[in-house]
Amino acid sequence: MIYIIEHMESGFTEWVTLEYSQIIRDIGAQNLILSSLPATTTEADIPKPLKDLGLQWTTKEITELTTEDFSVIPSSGISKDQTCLLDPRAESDLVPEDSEKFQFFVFGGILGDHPPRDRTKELSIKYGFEGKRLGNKQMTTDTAIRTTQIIIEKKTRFEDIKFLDYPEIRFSKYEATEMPFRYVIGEDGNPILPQGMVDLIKRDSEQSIDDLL
Amino acid sequence: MVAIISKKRKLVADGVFYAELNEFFTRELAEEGYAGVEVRVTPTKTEVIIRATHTQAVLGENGRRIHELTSLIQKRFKFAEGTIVLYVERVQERGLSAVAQAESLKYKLLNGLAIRRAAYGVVRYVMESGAKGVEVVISGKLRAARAKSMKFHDGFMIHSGQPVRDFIDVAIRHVLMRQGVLGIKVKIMRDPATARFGPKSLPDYVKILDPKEEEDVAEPTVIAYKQAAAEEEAAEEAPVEA
Repeated sequence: MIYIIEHMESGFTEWVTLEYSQIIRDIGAQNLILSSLPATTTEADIPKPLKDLGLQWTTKEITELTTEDFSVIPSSGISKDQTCLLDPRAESDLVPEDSEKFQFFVFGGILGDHPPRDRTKELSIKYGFEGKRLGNKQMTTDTAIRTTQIIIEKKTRFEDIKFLDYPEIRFSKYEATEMPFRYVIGEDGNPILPQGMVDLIKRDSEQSIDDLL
Repeated sequence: MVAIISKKRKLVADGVFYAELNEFFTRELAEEGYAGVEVRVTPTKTEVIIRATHTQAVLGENGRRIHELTSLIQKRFKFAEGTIVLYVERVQERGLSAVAQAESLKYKLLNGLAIRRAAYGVVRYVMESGAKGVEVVISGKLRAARAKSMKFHDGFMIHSGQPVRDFIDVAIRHVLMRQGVLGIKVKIMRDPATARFGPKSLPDYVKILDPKEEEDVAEPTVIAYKQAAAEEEAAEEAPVEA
């Protein structure tokens, strides 16, 4: 199973870096490809944590990739009928049986709005891959890949996975932050967030409007 | 006389008038800390009382601003000259007005203050003004981060039932930015004990009084009021029974 993230934000922000690092830790660097980076991207533009973890990245589009780019890609390249786009607006849900049909799973690397603005649509128009849904609530990129991995590789149905919707992370008696996304619950009963994410969320409240513009 | 309108239509028209005034002042007087309007109809005039935190700014130099506002409203609603009057009143306890605090928070953010500092500033000021509880929620998508809702609160807050209508003041404001909108919600619960009218405590508040000191229980006694009459009756009864 190869997971491909189509990079859709500009540059690598801390949030994106933490999520992608967690994804590499979960599925292995050789199973992840970051595609469609801007044509001017060089090794120097990739953040150090991702480089150290062995991120596979390319400026090419998904359909242009060949075995020469990455060894995990078969010599026939990536065919459309073996590729699935995870899209909240798709008509059918992802089920364990789809593991027989699909080898490649494509995700939009999007830092989403709430309510979502459906930026994944740009991907479905661009490539025309078959779309599958992961439930009706927005997920972070690492949660989406984690859920796909659980459904496809661990053969668990979506309904049997334990999720927590809109968790509230409490920082102190006076302060809390609610994340309007769906998260997978880990063994300790808490939602799984990338390493370092809770600190980043806490630091976000120290931003001001100037940081937003 | 003015055209006769049915009572129902009149009430609806009053409501629409109030709503339009409120909306107009919210947009126009946002920087002056506008916090509400009250309309009083007297036989000769219609009085519009504006509540704001910076009354001087609303009045303007020599009353210029308020003059402009009066003529604007008079022309818009086709009042005759002199039948509509505007007054400005300072909001007492602006720390307890959710609208005033939401506007102040909006301006703090627009002036570049960090979100946490601005929110804590509001929370602290409200609690110092004597509120029972306050909750500030700032929601939206910051650049280079995911959408989230940041909540700051202190004190005590209720969410349901009639006490919500009695004691809680809520205000929602939108901070419009180039990339999107930040939502601000301020919820203030005032102290029920300071209420001037209406209930003075929450409905489930029970005050247990201290027990009174026990009085000594006196020995039972009989007080005979008519000694002689009683003896006579007793004497009469005795021969009859016998």
